[in-house]
Amino acid sequence: MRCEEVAVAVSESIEAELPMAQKAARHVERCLRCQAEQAQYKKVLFAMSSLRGAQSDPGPELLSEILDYLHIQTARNPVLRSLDRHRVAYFTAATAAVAAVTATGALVIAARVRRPIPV
Amino acid sequence: MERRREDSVDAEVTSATREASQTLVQDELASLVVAAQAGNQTAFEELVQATYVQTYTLALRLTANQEDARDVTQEAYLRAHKGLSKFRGDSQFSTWMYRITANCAATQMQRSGRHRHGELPAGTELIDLRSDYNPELRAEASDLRTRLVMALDTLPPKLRAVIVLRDIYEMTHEELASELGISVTAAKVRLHRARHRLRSELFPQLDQVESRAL
Repeated sequence: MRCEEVAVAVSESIEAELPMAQKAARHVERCLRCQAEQAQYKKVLFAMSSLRGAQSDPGPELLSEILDYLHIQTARNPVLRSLDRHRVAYFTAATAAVAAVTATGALVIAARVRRPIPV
Repeated sequence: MERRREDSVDAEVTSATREASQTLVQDELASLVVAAQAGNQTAFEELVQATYVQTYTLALRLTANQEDARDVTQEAYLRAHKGLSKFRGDSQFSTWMYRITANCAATQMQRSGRHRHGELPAGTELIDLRSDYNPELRAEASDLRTRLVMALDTLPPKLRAVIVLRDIYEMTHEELASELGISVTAAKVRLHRARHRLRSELFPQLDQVESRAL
């Protein structure tokens, strides 16, 4: 039996901690290469399981992006629902810009109305 | 000897404390799920807040690209929101989210049809939340883990998906097959190929040794 033939059995036995088929087990018992491979698989699996507790930092803005996306996508307006993630950002920015321009215009008009008429 | 026993007791206490707090967190999540299923939007937003980092982490591991991972995370929560009434609580909410995320990532990878390298190892900050590994293996594993994260990124997306979902997130072969849209046999074959490539990447010396039983 060649090492390539027992490779799958070696990888599966590590994962499930099941005994290997007798033929494969006998090969591994006598083959230093397969024993080394078995040990390496154990190390890889141990390192993989240690990644279970690690987390990647997505940055502070992802949460609000998700919630904005949910609000838009669950809105009743079909036009709003057709917006994808990137368009949601543009739409939000455009809405804010329009609101800012409107507010500024209103303030300017109000200031002119209040200004006393020169005699 | 005494010192080792003390360490062991400390580790058991730490482990028990963490398990208790995890149970508490899971209970809180379960009650948020019930509230969200009843139509409470705030409860769903709290669920998002409690789990989005884990979901993003999985998405990033599957896509190896930050921008794709953000898209996948958002899409996953939208699908979760739409399908929440079907969630029966047989598994934990986070496990359910993992399955949705895996499915979204598979769709995203098919749609984008690309494989970008290089973003995960450089731009990823890993925060280790576990501390009770076998102390003798911890130092060695830490070095190996750094190389492993980089090696994972070099795998083709299809192989990376099966090994991440199986060996990190402990999905069964059947769950893998279902979420990735492949047969159980294909899932097993891909898993073996992924492990073989990962092992060869991390321990290249062995592949140069002649294959022969003594």
